[in-house]
Amino acid sequence: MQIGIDVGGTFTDGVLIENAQVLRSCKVPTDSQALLKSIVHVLEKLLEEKTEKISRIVVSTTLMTNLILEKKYLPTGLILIPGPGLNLKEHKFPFSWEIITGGVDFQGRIIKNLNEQEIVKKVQCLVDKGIQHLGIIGKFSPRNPSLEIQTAEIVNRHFPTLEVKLGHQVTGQLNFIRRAMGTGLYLATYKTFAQFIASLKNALKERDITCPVFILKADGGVIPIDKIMNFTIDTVLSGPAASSFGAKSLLPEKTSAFVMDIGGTTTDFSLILDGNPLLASRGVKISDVYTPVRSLAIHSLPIGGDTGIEIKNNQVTLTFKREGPPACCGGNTPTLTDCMRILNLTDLGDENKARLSFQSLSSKLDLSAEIIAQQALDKAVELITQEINYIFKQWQEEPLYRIWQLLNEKNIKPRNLISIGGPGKPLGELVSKKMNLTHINHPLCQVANAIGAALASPTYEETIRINTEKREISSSWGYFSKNSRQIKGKMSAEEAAGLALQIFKKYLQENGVEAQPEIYHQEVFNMVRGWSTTGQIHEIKLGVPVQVTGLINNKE
Amino acid sequence: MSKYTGLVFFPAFDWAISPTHPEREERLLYTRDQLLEEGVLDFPDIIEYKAKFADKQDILRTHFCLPSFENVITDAHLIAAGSAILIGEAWHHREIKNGFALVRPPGHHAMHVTHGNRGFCNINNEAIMIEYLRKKFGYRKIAIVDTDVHHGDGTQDIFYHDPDVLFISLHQDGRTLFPGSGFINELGGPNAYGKTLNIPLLPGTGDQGINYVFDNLILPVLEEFKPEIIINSAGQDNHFTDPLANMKVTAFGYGSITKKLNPDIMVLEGGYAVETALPYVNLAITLALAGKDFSQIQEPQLKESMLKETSENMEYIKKLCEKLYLIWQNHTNIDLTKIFGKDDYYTTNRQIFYDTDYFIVEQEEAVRRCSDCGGLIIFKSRRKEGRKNPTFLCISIPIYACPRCQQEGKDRFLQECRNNNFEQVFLQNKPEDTYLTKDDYYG
Repeated sequence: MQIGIDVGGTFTDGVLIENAQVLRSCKVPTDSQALLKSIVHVLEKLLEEKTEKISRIVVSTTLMTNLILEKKYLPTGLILIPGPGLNLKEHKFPFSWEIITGGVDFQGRIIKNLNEQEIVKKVQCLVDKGIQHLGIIGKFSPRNPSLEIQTAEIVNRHFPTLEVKLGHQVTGQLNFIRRAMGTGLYLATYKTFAQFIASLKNALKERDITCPVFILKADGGVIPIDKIMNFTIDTVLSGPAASSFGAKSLLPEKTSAFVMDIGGTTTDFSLILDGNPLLASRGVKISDVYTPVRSLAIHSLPIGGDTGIEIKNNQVTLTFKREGPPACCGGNTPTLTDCMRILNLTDLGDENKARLSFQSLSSKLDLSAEIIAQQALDKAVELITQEINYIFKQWQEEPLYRIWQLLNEKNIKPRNLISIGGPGKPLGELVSKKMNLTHINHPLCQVANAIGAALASPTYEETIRINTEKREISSSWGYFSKNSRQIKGKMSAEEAAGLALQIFKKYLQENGVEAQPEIYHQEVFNMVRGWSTTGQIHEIKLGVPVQVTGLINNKE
Repeated sequence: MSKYTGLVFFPAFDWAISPTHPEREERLLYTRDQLLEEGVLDFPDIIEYKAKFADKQDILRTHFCLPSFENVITDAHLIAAGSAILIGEAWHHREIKNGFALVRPPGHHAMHVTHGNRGFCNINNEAIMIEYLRKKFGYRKIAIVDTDVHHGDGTQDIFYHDPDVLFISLHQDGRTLFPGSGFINELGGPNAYGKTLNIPLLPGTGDQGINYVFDNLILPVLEEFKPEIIINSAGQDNHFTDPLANMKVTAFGYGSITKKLNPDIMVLEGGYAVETALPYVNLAITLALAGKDFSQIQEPQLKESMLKETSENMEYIKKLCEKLYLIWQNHTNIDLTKIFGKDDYYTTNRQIFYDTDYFIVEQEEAVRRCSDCGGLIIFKSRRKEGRKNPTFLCISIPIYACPRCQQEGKDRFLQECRNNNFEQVFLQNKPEDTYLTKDDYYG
C-alpha cells in the first residue's frame, strides 16, 4: 500500500492506494501556519490503526512556494563573480549582493583571478548588513568551480561563522542569474525547510512508520526524505506537478490531454502529450523570482471557485482574487461557485444563500441572478479557453536548434480535457464544449493531486558535457571533474555515452535511487583551432524517464 | 511601438560544410552558452522565436538556382532563410521593435544567379527576406548595411540595378581579402547609380575607424535616403581575433555601431572566431538591440593598445568618407551615358569564383536601360570547366517593373522557350509572383 499526500494552499489531500485501486481518500483544510498538522491529520484519517502494510509515502508540500511568495527569508547575502559581460544592474536580487573581481569563460578557463583583500572587504560589507548566510556564485562556475571554491576558502578563514553555499552545488545548468537566485533561495530558506523535514520525520517515527518516505519535486520526480536537503528549492510548485501526474494516472495510456486543476484561488494548466506531462524549457518563475528549478510546463490563471464576481463599467466581471468561501457555503460575497450553484451546475451548499449574495448585483444592473451568473461564467470560460490555446501554442513555438528536430516535429493535438479539483466538473464541461474537446472527470479527480504524489517515481533529465581537450566533465546537477583519466583526446559516441552513464549512475546511487538511466540524445562538436581538430565536446542528455507506477483503475 | 526585441536563434548544431570547415556545428555553440549563462532570454522584453522553413517560392523570388533548386538548396538553407523572413514578418506586424536572426548558414555572398556555395553561402537570407516583405506588404525603400569583413558581393549583385534599395558595405579592402571586390567605383547599375556604396577599409582598422565611418558617412547617407526598413548584414569577422581576416574591431565596437545604426532587422553573416569573438559579439549586439548596457563586455584577449587607430589610417578613412559622401551627394547629377553607354541594354561579362565548391562560372548580364523601373535583367550563365557545360538563360522582371519591362520579359521567355537554344530557361516574374522554366512552357 502506498500513500500520497499533497499539501495545497487551501486543502491537504491524501490517498491510500493498493494494486492500482484507491482504497481511501480524504481532504482536510490546510493550516498554512502549521503544515505538519495537516499532514498528520491526513495520515491519521488514511491509516486508522495499521501502519505495517505501507510500502511508501510521498509528500508534496507547498512550503517552499509559500516561503518564496511570502519572502520569508533568513538574512542572506551573495558574492557574485560575473567577470566581463552583462551589467548586473540590469537584474534585481531580493538579497544583498556584492561583485568581486575574477572571471571564468564558457570553456571553464580562468580569465581573471581573485583578489583576497577585495573579497574580505566586500564580505565585511555584507556582514555589516547583518547577513548570516553567504552564497558565492561565479559565471560559468559549472564549467569550472575553482573560483567559487577559492573564494569560499578565503571567506571561511576570515568569517568562520558564515554559512556558505556555492552556486555550482545548487545547479550545474547555465544561467548565472538563476543560479545566483537559486543559491540565495536555498540559503534563505534551508533552516525553515530543515525544521519542517525534521518534524515530519519525527511525526512519522512517533507513529511507527518506517517505510521509505519521499518528497515530490516540481518536475514530478521524488527524492528520498534523507536526501531532500540537497534539493529543497526543487520542491517549489510540486502541487501542480502532482495534479498533472495524477491526471495522467487516471487517463488511458498514451493519451494526450489538457489538464485543468481548479482550486479556490487559481487554476493551474498543464499538458500531457502521448501520456507524458510536458516539461518546461526554462526554470520555474514564481511571482518575480526566476529560479533554476526544472518543472512541468505549468500555467496559472487567477481564477478559481472562490473568485469574486463584481460589476465594473456596467459589465459583469471577475475580481481575480479569492473573496473567502462562496456565499452558498456561508461566505459573504458572490463567487464563481455561486454562479454555478444558481445555474444548477453544482449542488454544493445552499442555493438560497447564493441567490441572496447576488441581490445587490442584480439591482445594480437590473438583470436576473441567472443572467449575471451566466455572464460571469462565460467570462471565466473565455479566459480559460484563451489560456489553454496559449499553452498549446507555446509548446508548438518552443525554439529548436537542430535541423532534424524541425524535420521531425510532433504534431499532436490533444482532444481531451481532464478537470481536477472542486469546481472542476461544471467548468470543465463548459470549457470542453466550447473547445470541442472530450471532457474527462470522475470522482477521483477530486484527489488527483494526491494520487499523482502517491504514484510519482524518481525522474531525471540531466546533461553531461565532456570536453576532451581540457579533459573535463561538467554536468547539469553540478558534478565537475578535471584531469579525468577516463577521457581520451578523441572519444567515440559509445565511449562518451558509457562514461556519462557511469557518472550518472553514481549520482543516482548517492541519492538512493534505483533506476535504469537512459540516454535521450547525444551530440559531438569537433573543436577546431586553426585548421585542425584539437578536441571534442560531447553533450549527452540522459536521465530516468517519467514512470507513474501503475494506472489507477477504480471503476465507478 | 512595440517594446520587444525579437531573436531567432538557429545554430544548426547538426550541419557543417565539412568537419573542420569554419562553417561547422561548433560555430554558435559558445554563443549559445554565453547567451544562456547571461540569462539574456529571461529578459521580459526579449522574445525568442522558433526557426522555420522558407518556401521554395520565397527562394525563387530572389534567386535563379542552377542547374535546379534541389541542387543548390538544403534544409539548413531553407531554415536560415525562413528564420530571417520570420523576424521580418514579426517586425512588420509590430510584434517587435527590432530583431536579430542569429542563424547559420550565412548568405551575403550568394548572388542573383546561384550555382552552389561561394564564401560559405548558397542563398542570400537578407535578400530573400527583403523580397518577401516587399511582395507581401508593399515595402519599397530598403537600406542594407553590411558590416561583415568581406564585401557583401552577393547582396550587391542582387540589388545592383534596384533604385529603391540602398546597399552599403564596409569591409576589409578587396585587394587583401575574399571576394576581391567592393571598391569605391562599384556604385550601382545604370538604373540605380549611387545606390551601392562600398567602403573598403585597410587591414588593422578598429573601433575608432568604423565608428568614424558610421558617424560621417553611413548615418548621414541613411538620413537622406529615408528608408522604410534598415537591415544590417551582421557579420562578426571584423573582430580582432577573426582567423580569416585582419581587422581590429571589438565586441564593444560592434555593440556601439549597432546602437548607432539602430537597425530594424539584423541577420548574422560571417564571423569565425568561434570562441574569442562570437560569444562576446553576439551578446553585445543582442544587448545593444534591446537597449541594454553592453559596456562591460570585454574579450579576455583585449588590450588597450588595440583600441587606437594609427593617424595614417584615420587620415585614409577621413578622405575615403569625404570622397564617398561627395559621390552620394552628386549621384543624381551624373551623365550616365559616359559610364554605361547609350545602348538599350547595358551588358557586362564576368567570371565568378565559387571558392567553396571550387569552380568558376562565366556569366553575361544584360540590363534594360529604364527610367521607370530597375529594368529587365537577363543572365546567360554556365560553369566554366569543360566545354560541354550547358548555358542557362535567366530572365528577371524586377518587383516594381514598369509595364514595358514586364512585357518584354514575358515575350523573351516565350521566344527562348520556342527557340530551345539553352539547357534551361527561367523566368522570374516578381510582379506576378510566378517563377517558370522551359519545362512549364512545354509541360
